[in-house]
Amino acid sequence: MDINDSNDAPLDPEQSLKVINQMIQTSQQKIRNDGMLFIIWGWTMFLQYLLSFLKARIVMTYQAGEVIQYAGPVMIGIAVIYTIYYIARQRRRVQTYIGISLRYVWIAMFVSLVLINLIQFNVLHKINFELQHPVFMVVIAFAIVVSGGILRYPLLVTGGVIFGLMAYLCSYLSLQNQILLEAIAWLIAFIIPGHILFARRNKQEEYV
Amino acid sequence: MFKELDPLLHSQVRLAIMSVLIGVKSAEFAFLLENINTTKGNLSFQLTKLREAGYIDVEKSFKGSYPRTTCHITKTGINAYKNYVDNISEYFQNFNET
Repeated sequence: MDINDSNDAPLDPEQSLKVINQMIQTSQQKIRNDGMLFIIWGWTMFLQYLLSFLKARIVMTYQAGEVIQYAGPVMIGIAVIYTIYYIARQRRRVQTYIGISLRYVWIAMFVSLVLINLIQFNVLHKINFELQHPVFMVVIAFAIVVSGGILRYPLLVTGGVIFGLMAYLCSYLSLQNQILLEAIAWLIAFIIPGHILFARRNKQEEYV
Repeated sequence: MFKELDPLLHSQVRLAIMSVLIGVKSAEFAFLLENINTTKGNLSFQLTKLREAGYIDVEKSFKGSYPRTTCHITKTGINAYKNYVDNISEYFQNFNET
């Protein structure tokens, strides 16, 4: 929409409605979630769990095992740095209520995970990983469903529900199999909806 | 009959600015410029008019050596925008009835 000094004359009601519609539509398209953080965290956690599973299942050299052991924390570190950069860049341009709500959901989820670990340690005097994985997955599933609701994105809500059901399924499995199932859960609930969101956003931008 | 519309909002650029700001918590000058696609000078001039009327708040800060202007709509601005939209809706209702 081209608005110049010269045509800044009073509007008639039809023109006013057109300006309101176009502005709301254009700006909302530009601030729509692009799914980038779902993609980044999806791939990071998927690869981390998959590599952990393979490390436990496949006989490999000592060096390969060491690389896999350190790859996980390094990938998470990179994802954290990118997330901070991404949020800071977005906030510079525009702050939306959806963005603020999502930030609260995921920060609360992270704090909940830390508290669960502390409570578990206080009660059991150790960390039981077979219990920790499904419980963590339930909390993450909750955050995914809420995020899907905020973004009005049914595929993410469905992904969150599947993530929760897989958490329950995990409670029947050994730790090794839990890890494989968790990798699949991240693929279903984060990677697939994230890529679709990203593709949709890019397609919409072509028409803006 | 068609109620008189707020003259401050009854201009393309100012209405466009308010329509962007109504849907966000705050937006930078660059974001507004990107969406409204007017000149920097005109945008700056219209922002000053809206700020003087109390419809928006404008915060100026520095990021390194670059100036940064952030705008957000005020309660007065939200009410004015709502009244403006209500009056237009009323006009279309009356128009459809006749």
